[in-house]
Amino acid sequence: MQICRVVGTVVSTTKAEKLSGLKLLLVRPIDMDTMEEKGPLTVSIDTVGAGEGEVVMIVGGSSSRQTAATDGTPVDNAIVAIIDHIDAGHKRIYDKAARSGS
Amino acid sequence: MYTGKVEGTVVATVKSPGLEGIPLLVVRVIENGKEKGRIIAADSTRQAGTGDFVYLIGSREAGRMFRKPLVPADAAIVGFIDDYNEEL
Repeated sequence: MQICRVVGTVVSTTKAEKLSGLKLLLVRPIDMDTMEEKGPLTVSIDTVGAGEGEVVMIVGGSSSRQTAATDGTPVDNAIVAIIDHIDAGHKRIYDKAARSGS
Repeated sequence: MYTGKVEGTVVATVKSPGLEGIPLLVVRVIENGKEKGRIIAADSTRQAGTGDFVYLIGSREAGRMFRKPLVPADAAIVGFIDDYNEEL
């Protein structure tokens, strides 16, 4: 899985029928070495109530359809967790509470 | 399948129900002995810790390692590597 920052929302009234009712968010990948946003914007289906600015974990491919909300839908990217903190290399490289590394 | 080294842990209290009780670890992907980027992997062994050299399974099969429906994981640690040799 990857981590991303939620940078926006996507509103689409004309879309595949099975996508109706799903929340589309705009996310940008975060490089877990530098903890900086790097990479292309992606549209991801929110399944956990993520908000703008939050750091989230996304899953891709058919694994992203393994949630109640996205099961059987034309989705290949979903937000499945909101990150509280990440410890790596014996230090806290991200802490939602402290907003460090953001 | 591919190899990697465990470098840390991820804590997320708000997450998909399918991920409940599954450790999420920071893994440095290693391909052909070369270090690549970091990913997050679900630990199906439930014993991996920082410094362990592990092998992983990707995409949809990662979720299947947990033998319960609807596990949204696309990377899972499935075993430990004690040593290996390369015939180059």
